[in-house]
Amino acid sequence: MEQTEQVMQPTQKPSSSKFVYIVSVVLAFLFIFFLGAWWFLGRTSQLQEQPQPFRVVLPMWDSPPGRPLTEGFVKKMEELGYKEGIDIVYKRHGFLAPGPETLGVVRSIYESDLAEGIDLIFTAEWSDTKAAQEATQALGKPVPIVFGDVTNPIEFGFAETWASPGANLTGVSERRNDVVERALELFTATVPGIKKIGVGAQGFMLPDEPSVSYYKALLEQAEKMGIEIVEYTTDVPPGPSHKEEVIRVFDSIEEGEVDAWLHIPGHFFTNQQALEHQLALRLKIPFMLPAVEHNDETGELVGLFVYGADFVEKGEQAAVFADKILREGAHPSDIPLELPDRYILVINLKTAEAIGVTIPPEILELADRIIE
Amino acid sequence: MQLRLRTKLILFGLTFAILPLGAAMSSSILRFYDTQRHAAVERQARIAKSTAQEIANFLAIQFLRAQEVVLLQPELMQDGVVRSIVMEQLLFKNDSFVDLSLINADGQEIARKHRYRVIREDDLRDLSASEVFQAARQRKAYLSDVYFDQGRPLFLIGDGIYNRRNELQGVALAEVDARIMQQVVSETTIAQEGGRAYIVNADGIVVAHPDISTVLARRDLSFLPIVAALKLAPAETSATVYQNELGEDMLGFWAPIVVQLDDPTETLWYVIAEENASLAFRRAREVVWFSFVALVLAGVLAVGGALFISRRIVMPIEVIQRLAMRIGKGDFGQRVTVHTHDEIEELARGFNQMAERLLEGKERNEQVSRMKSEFLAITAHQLRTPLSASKWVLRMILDGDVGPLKKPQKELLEKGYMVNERMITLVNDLLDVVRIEEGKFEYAFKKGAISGIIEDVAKETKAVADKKGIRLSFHKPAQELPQVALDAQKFRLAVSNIVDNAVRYTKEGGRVDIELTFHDDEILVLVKDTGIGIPKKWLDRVFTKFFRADNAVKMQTDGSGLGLFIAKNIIEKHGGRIWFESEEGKGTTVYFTVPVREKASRTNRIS
Repeated sequence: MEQTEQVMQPTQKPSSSKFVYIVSVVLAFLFIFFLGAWWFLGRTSQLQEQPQPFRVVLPMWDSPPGRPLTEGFVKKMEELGYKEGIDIVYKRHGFLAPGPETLGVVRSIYESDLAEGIDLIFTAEWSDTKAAQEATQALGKPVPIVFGDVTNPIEFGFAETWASPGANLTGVSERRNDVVERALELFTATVPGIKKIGVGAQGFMLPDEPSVSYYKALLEQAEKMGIEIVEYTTDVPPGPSHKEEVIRVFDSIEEGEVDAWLHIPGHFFTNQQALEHQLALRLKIPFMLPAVEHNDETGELVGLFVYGADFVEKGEQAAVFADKILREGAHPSDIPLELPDRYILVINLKTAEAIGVTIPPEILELADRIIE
Repeated sequence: MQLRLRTKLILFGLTFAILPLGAAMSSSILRFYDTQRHAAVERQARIAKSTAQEIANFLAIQFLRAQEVVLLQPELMQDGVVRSIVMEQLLFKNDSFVDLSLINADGQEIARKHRYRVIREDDLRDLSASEVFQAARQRKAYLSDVYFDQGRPLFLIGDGIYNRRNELQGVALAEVDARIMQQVVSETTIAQEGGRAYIVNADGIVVAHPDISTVLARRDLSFLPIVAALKLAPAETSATVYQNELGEDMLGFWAPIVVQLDDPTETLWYVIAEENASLAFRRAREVVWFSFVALVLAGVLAVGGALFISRRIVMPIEVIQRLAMRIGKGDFGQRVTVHTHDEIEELARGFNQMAERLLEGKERNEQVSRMKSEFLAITAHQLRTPLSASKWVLRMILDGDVGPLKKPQKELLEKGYMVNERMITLVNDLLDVVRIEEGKFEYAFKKGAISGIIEDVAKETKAVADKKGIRLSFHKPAQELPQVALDAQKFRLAVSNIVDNAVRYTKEGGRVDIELTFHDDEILVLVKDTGIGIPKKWLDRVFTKFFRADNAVKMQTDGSGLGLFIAKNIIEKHGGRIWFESEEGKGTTVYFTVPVREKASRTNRIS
């Protein structure tokens, strides 16, 4: 019987299309393979890019820069890409009122955190930085410490040099004492005729080295300018009733006793600046601060005059240090200390109006920030 | 190495598409690549120069702001309080100024304000010997290197103030917080576009950098190739590809910062603008990638085209080739139908015509063969009857049934009888061949031993062998052979033909040996003679019908040439194989096998 093999093009499926079929299958397989590899590698790299979140301890010392420093730090970290809960976990222990016993409590908290395992400690000022330094040294865990507002860090043993701190600490430093005279000059230019400036001295201010050295600088510079510093003191030890003692002393000050009031940084009652502000309003005297500060309860800026740095901005500046350490793996000893990015002159016209003071236009010209 | 037509076509497509394309593209790609690289380098140079210009503009503004202290000159401003206020405002107007002073024509500071310190009368300095004052006297602007004051990086700018007669009236001097430069370099165009700009001094120390820590640490970047090159030849700017301090490959270019005041003021600062090399050369890389992709696409197209052509051309050819092989094996019914409307269709048509002719030829051959067989059958039958009658008549006469014969008569009749016998054998062989070819050579397989049959044949043939002076030996197997399925009569015929042949073509004094062995589930029989052998040229015709080699014909005039043909058919019907080894003049050995394993199935089939 005759057999016929037909080749009909292109409708009939020829047996020789097997080669095309194999090539197609191989190409499809390769495509799927590379697609899968791309997905897998992408996923792997994603997984690699999502390590455990960094654990950072936030300041708990509140005398008072802890809150604004924390605010600026957290805000800047978020801007730098650290999402809280995903990229970074903050250990917030609340804010503790400064006191002789508080320092020990703060140190024990740091020790506890170090034992748990943390990546960085962000501190506010001299006292809690000292506590953190001692805790890391005691446990032999040189976890990086970034401070936001430490005066004279080399003098106080936190760093060896400005360019190379040399240990596990670095951060934003202050030279507040050097600016006291200039601040007084500008203050007296703002409200001419100031001869006596009241301050909450012994019993109000912390007896730590920065506060003591600042106060000493204030006394020296004021004397040069012919200004008398009127001290208000108390023997009541810090504690729960300290606020009442502050109020009692302040209430006892009568009009005409002082021409102005000056805030000493570092004090036992954390919201002392708010009571000082109220005192100034009552006495209708100008109130000067060496840094931008707020009423902890209302968030309102206090005082009439500020010449110094903004704690929130310093917190932001400290966040850049933390970023270098956490993301880039830099060692604190390799990150030079920094002064605040800027000193600002703040004039609070609301306060000026309240106390009946007219600010000279040439001072308003100089002001970086005017609160109206 | 044999390559299939389809493979050849693909290789052809690749060779003639990719190679010329690759050759043509490579030179233009390389040229274009070089152009793009050159463009990237030039772009980097432009960026560096423009970045240097941006920074120079910033510095020029600082100079201009410092020069505003000219307002404080005593002849312009008499009131000391107003002068202090204006000075204060000039200082605070510029966030980066830390200290601002006015120096008179004698080099004495006459007005000064500091951002963080109170300046009193006794703080005013005699700067007559200072570099800034000396520069001003030479009508040059002054820009100091960066220095540090307790962690604060600073630099000085100073410029002279001249009257209409071009006489020095005073010098404006400002101390600038160098951290402002961080902002400046961070806001340059290249920084906005993902690159980086920073400033180093002539010693390679960082003066301004997006990372302020680098400045505060007074980092020396002389280890970077670009900075090292800059230090060696500051005037010869050129693009450099290098690894920066972060280990990234960068394309960098440096440019000196020249502040354009009344006259160009050269500084000791150099801006380095760098960009990630992979980004800078991305266009050049894209060109290569694009070309590579184009080449791959061309390759795919070439392969695709080859596949398409192979579908159009090769596949019908392959079909024809496949069918030709089937025809070659005797299947003449194959036909191919191709509808390509070209030479391939013509070829297919020709192929079909050829197959038709072959089929006709085959049928004609079969018809002739059939007629031949019929003729042979009829002839053999017709011959057999009288030959048988002659045989019996001659036998009776020789046996003396019709009376005694004289010796000469008897000898004559015996010769006649022998001739008649050979005629009967020939006729029988012919009839066997006819039956084999017609498939009527029937077998009746039964279990039996082949050694007995072979031994009987040997004994029967031995008389003839002895008469010829040939020593015929049957070597009994050492072990008892298993029984096999066989048609004893047919098998005997096959063995007889083989042994007869051996004796027939062996000369006097020769030997014929018959041996049996058993291994691998089959019995091997060999019949070895020392006869005339088979010439090489006839080796492949030994088992064909009516074949007799010329040396056989010379030796023995009679013989049908059918014995081995019949023997081969019978052996193969028993499931065995038959072959031989022969050398002309030395002898021939015929081997054949009888399988043991297939015995059961064959027995069953027959029964």
